[in-house]
Amino acid sequence: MRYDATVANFPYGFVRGIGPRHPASCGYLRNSWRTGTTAAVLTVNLNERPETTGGDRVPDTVAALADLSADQQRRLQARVLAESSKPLTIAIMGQTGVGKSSLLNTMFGSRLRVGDVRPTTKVPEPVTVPGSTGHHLTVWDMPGLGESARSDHAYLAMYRDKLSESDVVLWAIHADSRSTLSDASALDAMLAGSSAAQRRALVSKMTFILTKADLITPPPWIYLRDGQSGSFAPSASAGERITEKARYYQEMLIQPYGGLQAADTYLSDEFSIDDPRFQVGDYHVRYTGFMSESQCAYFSSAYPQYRAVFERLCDNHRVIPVSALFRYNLVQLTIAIVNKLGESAIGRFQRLTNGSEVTTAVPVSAMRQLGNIVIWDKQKAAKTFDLDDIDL
Amino acid sequence: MASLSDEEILDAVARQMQTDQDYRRQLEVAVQSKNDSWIKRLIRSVVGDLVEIGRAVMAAVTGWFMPRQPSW
Repeated sequence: MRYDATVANFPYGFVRGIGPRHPASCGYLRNSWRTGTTAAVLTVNLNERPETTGGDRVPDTVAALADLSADQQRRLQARVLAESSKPLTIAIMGQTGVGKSSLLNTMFGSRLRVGDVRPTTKVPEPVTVPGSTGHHLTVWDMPGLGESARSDHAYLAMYRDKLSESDVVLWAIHADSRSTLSDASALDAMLAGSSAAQRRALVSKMTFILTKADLITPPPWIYLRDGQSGSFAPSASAGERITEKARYYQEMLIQPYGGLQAADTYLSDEFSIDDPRFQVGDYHVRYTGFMSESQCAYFSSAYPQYRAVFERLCDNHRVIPVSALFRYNLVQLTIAIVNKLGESAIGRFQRLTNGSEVTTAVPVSAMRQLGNIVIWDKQKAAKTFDLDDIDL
Repeated sequence: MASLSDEEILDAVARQMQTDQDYRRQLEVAVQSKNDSWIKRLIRSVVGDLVEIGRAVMAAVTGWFMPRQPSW
């Protein structure tokens, strides 16, 4: 028997015929909802095994929804719509020219202006742009750090205000840079002027990223072609250099604030540890403090059944190398963002990204534009190499 | 710079594909669990104690009891 319920603009359908009297009979749940202009669809098919990851928790929610009166359903729908209709707000900061706008454009399909030679932003400006699904993304386009000591000082208070208003804070560092001084000083100064609660909230919502990882060369990158598209992978030696860089920035920028941090991740199974640093909710767990790799190894050895959870918590505190050009590691960055989103922001995030779809595909035509070396042989007086000439 | 062997290329590509796949799977569950958590919180805020009152009234009127209380 199959029950279909469709409710426009609402991420959950109300399932008739399955009330709290029969939660165990929800053998199969398939939630293929889409938000925005597309109707939400929730399909329940009895007599089949659960396909949705997470075991019994979805039937619980369905049972809860089915138990609501018509008036309560209307009120709930209004609350969901009101919350999910607000733009998702992202603050992205870092040195000028690290590729902040390019990254957001690649991730969310927005059209922020990129490629300016001179930094032009002097005050934080909220830029609201439609994402690829039509839902809106508000980006606090922060003035770049490093223009001058005077401007950095003047910007700090602005940074604090805007970052605290944002759902997500991305701190971008150029992958090809070795200097952490400017970023570390800015972070220090910003936190020094905040209350303890502000500091904790701010640090916990930050995700540090290494942008333009594609510049980590000469070890080559590999383009895995499949028809007219493909995806990039770093060679082993390029991957090692990238990992080493990320680890270095983690030591310099994240680890020193370990006491202020908290890491969150989802739970799909039972999780129980008698340790005050772990706070367990319905579907998630929060670890207060810095989950280092050695800490992760310790917990994994003591509680091997929860190894995957500890690794995800450890991932929360990693610096994530990404490349907008190569669409590299965007899935990892997206899950880092989702882990740090507050509950009220997930509806907005999902409307913007249309679910959990993150593409890593780079069309062959775009890939061909990436080679920029043409060799002119002086002795032969002829061009001897041009990527454009190679028949792929 | 030495060129990569076929084996090195295949290893690197397989590693990246596996990483992406692992994170993609995590992402689906993370988004879903955040949504469930969010929707439950909204339901709780909309319904408040009304559900409990409703249950009590139903039980009094019909003599029908639900065998399980929702965890939220």
